[in-house]
Amino acid sequence: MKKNPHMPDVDDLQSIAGNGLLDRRLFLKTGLTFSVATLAASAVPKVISAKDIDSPIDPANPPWLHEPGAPFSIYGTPSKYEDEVVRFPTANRDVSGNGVSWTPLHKLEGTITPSGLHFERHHNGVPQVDPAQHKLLIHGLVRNPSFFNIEDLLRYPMQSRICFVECGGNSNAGWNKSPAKAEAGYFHGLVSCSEWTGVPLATILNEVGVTEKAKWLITEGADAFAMNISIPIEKAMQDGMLALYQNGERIRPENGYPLRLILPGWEGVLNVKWLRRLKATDKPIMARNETSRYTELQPDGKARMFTFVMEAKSLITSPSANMILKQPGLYQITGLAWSGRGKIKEVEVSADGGKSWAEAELQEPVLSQSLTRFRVPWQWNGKPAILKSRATDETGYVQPERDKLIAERGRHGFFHYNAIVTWKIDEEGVVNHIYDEKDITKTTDDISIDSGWD
Amino acid sequence: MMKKTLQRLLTISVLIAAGIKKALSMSSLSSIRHSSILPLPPEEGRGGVKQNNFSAFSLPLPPGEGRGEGKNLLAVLLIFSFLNPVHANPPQSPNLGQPASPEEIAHWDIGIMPDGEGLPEGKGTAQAGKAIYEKHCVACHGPEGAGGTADPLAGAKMALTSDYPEQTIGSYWPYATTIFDMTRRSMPMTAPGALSNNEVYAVTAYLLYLNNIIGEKDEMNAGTLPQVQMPNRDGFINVYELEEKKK
Repeated sequence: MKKNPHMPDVDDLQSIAGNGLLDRRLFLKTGLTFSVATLAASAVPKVISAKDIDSPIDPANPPWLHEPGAPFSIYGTPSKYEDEVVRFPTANRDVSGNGVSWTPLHKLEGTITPSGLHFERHHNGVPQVDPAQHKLLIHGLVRNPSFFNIEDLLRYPMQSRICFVECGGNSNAGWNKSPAKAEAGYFHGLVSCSEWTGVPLATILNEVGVTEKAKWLITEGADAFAMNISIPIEKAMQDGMLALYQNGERIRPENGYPLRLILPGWEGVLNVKWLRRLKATDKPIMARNETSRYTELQPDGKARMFTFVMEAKSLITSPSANMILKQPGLYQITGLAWSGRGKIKEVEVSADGGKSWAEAELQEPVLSQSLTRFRVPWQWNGKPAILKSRATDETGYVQPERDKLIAERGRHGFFHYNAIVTWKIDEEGVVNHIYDEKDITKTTDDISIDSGWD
Repeated sequence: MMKKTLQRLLTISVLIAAGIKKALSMSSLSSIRHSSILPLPPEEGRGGVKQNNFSAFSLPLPPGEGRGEGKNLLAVLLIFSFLNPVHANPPQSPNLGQPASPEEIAHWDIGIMPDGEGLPEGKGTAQAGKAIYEKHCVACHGPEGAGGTADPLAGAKMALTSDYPEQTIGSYWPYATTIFDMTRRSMPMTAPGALSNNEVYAVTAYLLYLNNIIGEKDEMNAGTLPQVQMPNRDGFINVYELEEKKK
């Protein structure tokens, strides 16, 4: 590795936790932003190592310096060189519209998910809803049952808020006996974060006059599944939103155009897309997606039901599974943390398999129920290393180790997997997903308990 | 700055109060809902000072922000809301909803509650349901409710406490009404909503029969279906309720 004149000698850097973890403020103190970016870029996936993209072009005189560029476009798209930054769909083979697509978290930075990369969970495809033909009906235990059309909803006073939406089944491969080998986003990427803008649900519920008997809202989408599910009216009144915009533009069809429910911090399935009906009732409807699915079978045979809140979770997105560190040196470990209960208070990172921990820097602003970016500098000495991250939220809840989660919940809950994620880096710099140190050598008895997305 | 805003809001509140008073003197619900004296949003609904005032007035306050100012404003609004004896739609809201008639609601509402509320007329037995299942369901769910790419519906052999628990209608689902609700709204995936009420009753009966919960000739209808006792009815812990109690 070439010596960077702007960088302090690595021997001068004080470790604050085992195996090379450095003070989180190092990059801020020394203003090494550029150097760091260069180094972090070497943690790239196998498929595009720097030498593959070497080209005979003279970088001092590239062709784009000497010919007119492309004309204006009416809607921008990513660079053609970024065509691997895509969602990863896994659908039922008999019903192509039933499944999920994963956000490539391992290829993204910052905290806002581009709308076109927001994860998807559809039960029977993406409907192309004509907003002029779409109405929201609110009825049941209300004084003034009413229809609202989209044009009228657009006239209401709106609010914006940034929050994550996470599928209750995100990271479910973690329940499997053997560690999944997919890239980080392709088994933790059923979480995305957007700025949602819309009408506070409380505004509309106050207008229709919800009666005192009403405790639940039964929601229904306008897709071919007519997806329905019950939500407590208390949450709806507290911070529920009838969202019309995502990241500044009208919500994309696959995210619920023209109208979706947003319930910050709660299971994705409750954030009903293509929303068409809300019925106030005194009890839940016991729909399929709150009984047969989105409930978690425990070791004693009982199942947890109405587990709405997504608990605190974190994972390192770089370096992460299937990336390669090209040489020893200074790296930035970066990742995401989030909690459905509020703000992330702290993220700790370990490079020695959890023996010692260093506090990571949290990117401001840290927002409630939103993806929070953490970063910490790390001096990799070229020897095997085991990386972990551990989130604590403002309620004091600490993300559990996998052993602890499984001891508590068993392995058959399918939903709400939020254990600490472990990456092992070998001498070659190859990053692998493991559960614990033993796993890397263990012969695989991979009997998947992932029962799919039907 | 805050004081100025508050003053402005108070002025608007007084104006609204006057509006309500005038509306009340007309003494009809609809005149309150549609009175032009009430501050309706500007036609375009975007931008402009007028809209800003209006927004400040109508939005529920974000948690943890602007609390002090908000409390005063809320107090003012609360006082004025008592002046309104009919408790019509909140006057500070745009009120753009159109009334939904009982007929329209009945036409829209396809949900089935666990006590049977919403179940339509019609009936069916497992005997009739078998043919419908084999026509519309078998491709994904497999013969007799198992072995397809979709959720297994019947034939569970391994207990819920085993290493390989099988979660089927018979072993797991707590309510029989859920089968009807889901089948009618979502199934078959190629043509959801295509089955008649009689067909849905019949398929529901067949699935219950495959799980040894009812007999082959037992008729399922709006009266009998909610009475079916599901084996795993008490197999669930209501986590939300538990957490609410703790608060």
